[in-house]
Amino acid sequence: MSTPYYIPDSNVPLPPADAEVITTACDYCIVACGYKVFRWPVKGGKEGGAAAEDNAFGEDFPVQALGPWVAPNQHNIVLHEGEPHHVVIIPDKDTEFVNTDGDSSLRGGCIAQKCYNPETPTRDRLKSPMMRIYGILQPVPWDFALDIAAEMAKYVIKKHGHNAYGVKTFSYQYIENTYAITKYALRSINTANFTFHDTPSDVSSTPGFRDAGFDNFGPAYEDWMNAETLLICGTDPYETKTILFTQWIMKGIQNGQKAIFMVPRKTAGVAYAEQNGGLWLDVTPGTDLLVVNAIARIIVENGWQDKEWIEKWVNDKWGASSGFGQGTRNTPWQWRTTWGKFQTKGFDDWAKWLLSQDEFKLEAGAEVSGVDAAKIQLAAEMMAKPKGDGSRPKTSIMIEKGFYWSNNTGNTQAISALGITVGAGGRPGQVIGRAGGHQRGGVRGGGYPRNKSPMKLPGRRRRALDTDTWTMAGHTRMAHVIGTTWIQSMLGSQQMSARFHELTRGNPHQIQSINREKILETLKARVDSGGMVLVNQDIYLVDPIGNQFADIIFPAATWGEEDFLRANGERRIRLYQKFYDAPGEAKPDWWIIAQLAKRMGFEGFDWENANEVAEEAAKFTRGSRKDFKESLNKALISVL
Amino acid sequence: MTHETPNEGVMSRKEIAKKVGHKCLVSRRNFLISSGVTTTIMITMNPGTAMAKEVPAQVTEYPRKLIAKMSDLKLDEPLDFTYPDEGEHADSMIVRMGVKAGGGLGPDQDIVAFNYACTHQGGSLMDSYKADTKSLGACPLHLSTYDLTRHGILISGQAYQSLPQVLLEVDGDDIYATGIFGLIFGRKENLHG
Repeated sequence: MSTPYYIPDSNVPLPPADAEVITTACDYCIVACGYKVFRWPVKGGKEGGAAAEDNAFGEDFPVQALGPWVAPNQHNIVLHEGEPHHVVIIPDKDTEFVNTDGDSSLRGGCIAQKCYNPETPTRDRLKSPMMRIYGILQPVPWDFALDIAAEMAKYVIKKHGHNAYGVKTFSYQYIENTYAITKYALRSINTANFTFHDTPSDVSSTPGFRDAGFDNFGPAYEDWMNAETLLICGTDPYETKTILFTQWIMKGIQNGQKAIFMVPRKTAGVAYAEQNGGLWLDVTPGTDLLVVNAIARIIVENGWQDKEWIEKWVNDKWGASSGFGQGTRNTPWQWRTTWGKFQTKGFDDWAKWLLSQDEFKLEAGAEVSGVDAAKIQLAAEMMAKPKGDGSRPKTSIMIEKGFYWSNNTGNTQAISALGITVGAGGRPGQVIGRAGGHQRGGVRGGGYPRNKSPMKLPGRRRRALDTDTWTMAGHTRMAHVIGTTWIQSMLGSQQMSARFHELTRGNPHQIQSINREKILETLKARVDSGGMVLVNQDIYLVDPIGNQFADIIFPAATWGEEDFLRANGERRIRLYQKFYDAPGEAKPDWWIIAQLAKRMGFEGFDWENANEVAEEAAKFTRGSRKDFKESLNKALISVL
Repeated sequence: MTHETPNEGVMSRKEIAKKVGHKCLVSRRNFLISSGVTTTIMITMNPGTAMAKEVPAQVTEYPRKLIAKMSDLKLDEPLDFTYPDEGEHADSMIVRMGVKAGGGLGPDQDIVAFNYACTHQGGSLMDSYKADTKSLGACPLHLSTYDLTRHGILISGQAYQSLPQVLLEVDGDDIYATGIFGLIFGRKENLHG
């Protein structure tokens, strides 16, 4: 065996002056920076030159710092309308929003490499529908795979009930797809056996924000920059949402912002903050809540809370019990009321409770968390101590998964209370919210049928069905898994993997024919014997859900292969245009879902293209943070 | 302290480029004259076919340039030089690190040379050598940092290519630069800009 080696390129083709330019946005992190795709045919051997008039950028090469350089990783060769084309994908240097300096992260900088090209590792993309016959996944025609899947879905739903058909799907991979998937699962099939990639049940991941009335994505990027003190919990945005840091927070820090990081590791963003007047709270993982409440306690002990804000905007016990928009006024009283549920009678009552808990004393918080008491004290001062002239520092709070995905309810409740205390929330430079992970591409085409979930909370309230335990118990007879690994994610375990094997490949009823009727007979026998049929829809063959357990694989088309919409972390709708052909027979998820739905006899899936799906989905965004109905109306009017 | 106006006081792209970029040491014309050794040889296109014909092929070679003496290299004290020419982004450094490195020269394989232009957006990494971590950075523009013991791979930051490594040869006490591993920021080809 030879040693693998890598020789980097020492030249790169520039787009010629007449290359086509297609705008898009980076697909990776929450920020969704604007990018430009320069495309020109391979045929003819044309290439841009070093002189400004000879290339598409209109700049002389070599370019200066911050100029439109093309790194070899930013070039690729794709098929466009069946013909090989060069593509160069670099950040949009002319953009006025989001990525204001045309910057790019490690991720976005390499995005050209994710395009399908059989010469690169993307050769592993799924290119054809497949079915596991004689234990081996084999290419089959779309019609055949869709027909078998639809017949089995109808059978399972009829014989074993709606909740026997489970849908586990990404929540974010473009509005057109999530709309189609949720319309299919929640409105058409109406199964409670449904959830997104990151939770076993369809629930909020920031319950404390919900209860306090904070929106996850209320803040604008400008607000993060304009805060005078910024507490960042559980993430280093420099690493994970880089441009939000370099184009906004870093400029705030350069302008005197004090950035406080509460993270266990000293990464580059943390080091930068520390060197520029900020602070690192080097918390032991899992002890965040004690630090947050120790800070809150110092603020309350000194009377530094934002009294005017609390007086004017924070509910007393009557307001709290009437609900923050989710209480008796506008939700079915039978199962949802907040009366008495918040266990506090307003700010003073909460402060009394906080002061009565010994674990929130500074010494206790410091000891358990491992953070120096002096640093916790300093953090409280930076966040809330009035300045010499009596004015308050403008303080904002940013959280992300390192913080809210451990001790989820406790941490988000505590940080919300701290946010209320320092006056953060919906004011310029004074905001509280999530930094974000992936972009926001979820639009619901149907409501979750909570009343069909057999799982309950104490009392009469039903809770969303836990798809993990439901499937482990053998109640899922057909699982439709879309763009997520399921088994490895979240509560994943070896036990779950073994159970999936038992329900699928471990069942005696395995496809050993290419005859439609025989296949259906086998799969029906499997589900009737307590087993499960597994359909996996993805862009790569995923282990183990796809390559080990799936009976049917649907190959999906993704970024750059279809027109898509999605929102970024400050609620801007981004358009990702199609600029090259999807590999093989891969199709966008909305198309796959529509084909299945139509075969199952559901109405409302006759979309011709992604735009029709987007237009229908727009209606379901009204009033949400991704509301694009109004902009769509304006766009349609401008066309007319 | 007021922050009301976003980006107030923030320099434009060109202003920053001027501040942090490399000095253009020579004019473009001189740069072209001095860059590389160009020779003309004949190659056969489509050999063995009716279309076979001999055409001149332009082959440009990296210059072999004396850049330092072994005896002048002090531990963790970089020496600057330019390579492969005197044009933009040619500023480079050579350093003896005391730690074995990928592509390292000398008895301890610890002498390496790298281009100074950050491959993210072209900020200058001059004077940013860190002896404790054997790294270059953080870049003044966006903080990218590179590991000089591992062919200039990114440690932290935003660059999507490793820092170009200058290939070295030793002859007695003389160290020569003979090539570059990776594309220099700002250029479309290392030798023709």
